Amino acid sequence: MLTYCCPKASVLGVAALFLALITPLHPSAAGAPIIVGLDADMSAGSALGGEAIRRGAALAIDEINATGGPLGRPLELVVRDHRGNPDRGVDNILEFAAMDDLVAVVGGIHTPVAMAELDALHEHRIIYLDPWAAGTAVVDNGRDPNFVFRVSVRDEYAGEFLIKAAFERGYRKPGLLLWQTAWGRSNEQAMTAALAKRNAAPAGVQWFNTGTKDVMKQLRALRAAGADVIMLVAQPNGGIATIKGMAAAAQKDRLPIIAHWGFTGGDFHKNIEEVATAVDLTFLQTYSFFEPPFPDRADRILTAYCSKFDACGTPGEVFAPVGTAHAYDLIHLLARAIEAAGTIDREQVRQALETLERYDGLVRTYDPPFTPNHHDALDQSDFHLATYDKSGFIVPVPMH
Amino acid sequence: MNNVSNKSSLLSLILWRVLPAIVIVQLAIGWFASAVMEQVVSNELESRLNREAEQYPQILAVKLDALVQTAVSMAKNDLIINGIVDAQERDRYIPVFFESIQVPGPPGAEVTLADYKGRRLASNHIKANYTEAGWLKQVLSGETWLHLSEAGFTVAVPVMISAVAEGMIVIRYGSAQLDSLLQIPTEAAAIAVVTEVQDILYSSNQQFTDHLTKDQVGTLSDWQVVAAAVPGFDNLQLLTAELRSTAFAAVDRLGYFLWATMAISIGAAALAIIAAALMSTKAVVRFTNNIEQITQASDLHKKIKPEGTAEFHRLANTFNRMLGSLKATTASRDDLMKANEDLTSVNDALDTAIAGLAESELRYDLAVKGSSVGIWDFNVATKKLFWSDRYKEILGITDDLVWRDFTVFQDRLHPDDKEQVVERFQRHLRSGDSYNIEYRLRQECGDYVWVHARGQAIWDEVDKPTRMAGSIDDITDRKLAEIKLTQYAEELERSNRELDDFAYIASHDLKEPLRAIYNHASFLIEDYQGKLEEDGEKRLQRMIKLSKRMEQLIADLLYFSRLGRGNQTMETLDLNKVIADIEASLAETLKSRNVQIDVSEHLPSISGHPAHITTLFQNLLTNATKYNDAEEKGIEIGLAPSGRDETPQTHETLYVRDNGIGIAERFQEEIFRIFKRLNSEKAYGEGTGAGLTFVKKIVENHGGQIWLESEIGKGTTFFFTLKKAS
Repeated sequence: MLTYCCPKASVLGVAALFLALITPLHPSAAGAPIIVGLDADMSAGSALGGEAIRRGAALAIDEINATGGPLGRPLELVVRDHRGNPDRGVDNILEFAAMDDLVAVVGGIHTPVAMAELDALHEHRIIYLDPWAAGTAVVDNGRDPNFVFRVSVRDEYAGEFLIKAAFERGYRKPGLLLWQTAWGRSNEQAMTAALAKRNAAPAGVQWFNTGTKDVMKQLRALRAAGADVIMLVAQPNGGIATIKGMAAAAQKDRLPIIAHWGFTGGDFHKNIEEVATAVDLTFLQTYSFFEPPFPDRADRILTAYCSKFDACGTPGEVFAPVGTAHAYDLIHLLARAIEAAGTIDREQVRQALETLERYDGLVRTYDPPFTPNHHDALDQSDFHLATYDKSGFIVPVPMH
Repeated sequence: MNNVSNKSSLLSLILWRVLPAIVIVQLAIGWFASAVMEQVVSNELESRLNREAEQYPQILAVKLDALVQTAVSMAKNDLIINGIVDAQERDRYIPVFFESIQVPGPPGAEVTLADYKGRRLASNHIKANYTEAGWLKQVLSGETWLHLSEAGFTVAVPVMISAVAEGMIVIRYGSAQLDSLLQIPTEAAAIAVVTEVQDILYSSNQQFTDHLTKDQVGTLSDWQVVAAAVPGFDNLQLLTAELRSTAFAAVDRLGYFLWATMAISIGAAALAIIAAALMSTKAVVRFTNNIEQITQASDLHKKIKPEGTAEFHRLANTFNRMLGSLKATTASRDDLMKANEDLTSVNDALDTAIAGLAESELRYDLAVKGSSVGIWDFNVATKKLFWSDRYKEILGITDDLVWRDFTVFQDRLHPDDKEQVVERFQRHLRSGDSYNIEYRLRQECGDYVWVHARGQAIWDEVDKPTRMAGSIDDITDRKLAEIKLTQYAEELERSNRELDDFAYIASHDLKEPLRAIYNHASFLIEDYQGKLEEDGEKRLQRMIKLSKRMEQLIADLLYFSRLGRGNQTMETLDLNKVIADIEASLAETLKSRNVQIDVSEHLPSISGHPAHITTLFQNLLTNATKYNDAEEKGIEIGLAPSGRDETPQTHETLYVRDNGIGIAERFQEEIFRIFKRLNSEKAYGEGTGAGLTFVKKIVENHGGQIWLESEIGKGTTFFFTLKKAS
């Protein structure tokens, strides 16, 4: 079971929003605060992911403000909740656009929301820092200049990584089960391409809609098509339906599931706890506090995390760790870019992001983080497979 | 005559007294009939209106609700929800979906998917936009909005994602489509849908609309209107209306016809009455003249000539008969003399009859005394009973009593016969059913004697029985012979039946194939040890077990059949020794089950078949041990102080008592049925369920009886009778 010493995500979201609005994070810092927006699902199905991002950003801002902040001004996080609804997301971006001293907006889990926001972001020349949404086209959006920077998975890489993992485990006929959204389509492309590289093709491709509670039909179809492993791309609800559907099948009909990470941003494990042991589930992660690439950096953050959020100090307590870790690194990268640009003019900060030098981050050593042509800071070398342990903590699994 | 001429004539009486009354009654009936008709039509109109007023709002509500349900199901549709969260995807399919959408209402519905601010995401209507809608807040809070006014019909249903409205489905009809939306099939003259502020949203009848705009609802001149709320729409009323003039047109026509018919019938009735009065008056006058002539002539031999209608004929005839009677009262004294003579001869005949009767009674006494049957005579009034000497002799009575109470007879009846005899006796007295019956009477010595009784009662003129007499015949010997014969017949029948049963089973050579099944199964197990799967071996073991059990059942059946075939050599058996032997043979079992057998007193010797008597006790002891949950199982064997009523003196009554689980009363017959088991093998071990059948059979073969007393949880006592050693 996933246990962490904090109130429900939605309550947290509201509380955080309230706090963010009424109190500057570091009142002692000189000058007017520099505003960093956070636009994520803070109260619906992936609220846990939104909160994880907020925590990562808040930890980084605390660190930065403790040394006076970029250009001697404190950073201030302003949170808006888009509930996974692109229309709310666009409205939030427009609201951020109207704020003085806004330099960037940190996004949330949802690729479809990020995709819908692209026009508004670029129209108002707002830097969009993507700590989670993995859709390839979020970064490869065709805009010039491109205001989107990502420290997260890129589906193109995820597709290759997941298919590779499946092949390493000896599976040859992956069946694709995808959420019927831009993110699902992004992964269909990536996985199909990765299979094509291996002279293979999906055994079948099945889709499910947002509200779907039952994917038995899709699972049956994939089994019938001869799939030997299910490649799952799902938000929490779709993930829950898939695990339950698989557990309901006769043991001999159950297939292993190798999944993208979308469902880790919600109350996923709590909902599949009862059937968790019946299904072989592994999923993509970039960062784990259990096996951090740089333990000293991780320890420092973990200590701060535990004191700030009243958690008990074990790596498992950091739910949705990728959101926290990515957001943390992104805020540090932004602060460095502001310092480098010497202004909060967004275009200049954007250019500074493209030309930042080495940064020893939590997730990796970014050297450089981004280039003018490359706005994705992570690659496959940062990926690993993980699973839920009995306590509901996300733990890495050794690669085959 | 002068007096008479002063009176008014029959004709004028009818014309002035009867006819006006008839006319008044007719008019009253006519008025009443038309009032009733009007009331009936009025009631019918009202109930129809009420019925329609109940139905139409429901129909309208269903029609509107279909639209609401359509919006609700669209709001729950996966594709729609997906369209909310995936802006790219919705642009691909949602517009097409909305352009082709059909809702269950008239054409022209505006169907829109709006976002969480009421902005159009997709619609079949280019201008749909609800950002300014007054109801937006309500729908975003998760409620369905439903409104119908002159401006049109709107239903807005939130599309909920994670318990918050992320968008909404809006179905809207403008004012132009209201007519077709609100139109429902109706038989009423008019229906209209109005709002609480009396805006007319729809009316099926222009004339009614005109009235509505002029008049207040409910006070319309020629319209009868009933208003009813439309379920689900607080601000709406549906008016159902009928035109009174149309509804009452038929009544008015019927009214004219009724009055015309009545006028004609009054006229016709008047004419008919007058004609009848004239005819009657003429006949009465003629009849009166005739009577006056006879009276004046004082001649009783004259007759009136019947004429006119049948009534006057009857009057004339009656009058003529009256004249005849008057004439007859002048008859001579000779007739009286003749009557006196007749009376004397009747008296003589009576004397002769009395003399005959005395003779007859003497003969009766002689018959009673000389008869070989007992004669009885019962006086119903005194309830006293006469028994002849022979009667008393049959009963061994030596007293000189002539009459005794009827209760004495009743007391002597055998208890089993009493009810039937008394009933038959009374039935004969009551309805004359034959009294011919066989029953038992107690003799002075206490033994019962079988008698054949006949009797016949005498009833008085009002069918009240006064006396009943008859005879009894001693038929004890015949009766005992009959009973014995019946017993033999039953014995024979039972024996035959058992023989048949056994013959049937044996003829199927049960044992032979069974043995083969057993052998084959054993071979299979031996030969294929290890080759068969575990399940297969288990089944074979089960087969062997079952065939063994079958073998035991057949053996039991054979044993039972042998028990039934008599020819037993009886010996004198010391029951103490029999029990001791059984105890010795069962010693280990008894010890392992912690059973204590207590032979409560010195048992008698009996006459019986040694092996069968051993089986009898063995089975009873085994059962007492087996069906026993007590920690310390106790069995008591003893001699009962007395048996049942019918137990003959020649038999001893023995009992075997245990402290076992007991037998429910409803099973106390069934336990003696062969192969009947009351408990599962699991609970009380294996067995075929034949033990008690053998016991019963053995007891019966020894001319005894077996019965039991039992209490659940406390134990059972089997009683049985065996013949004393001679």
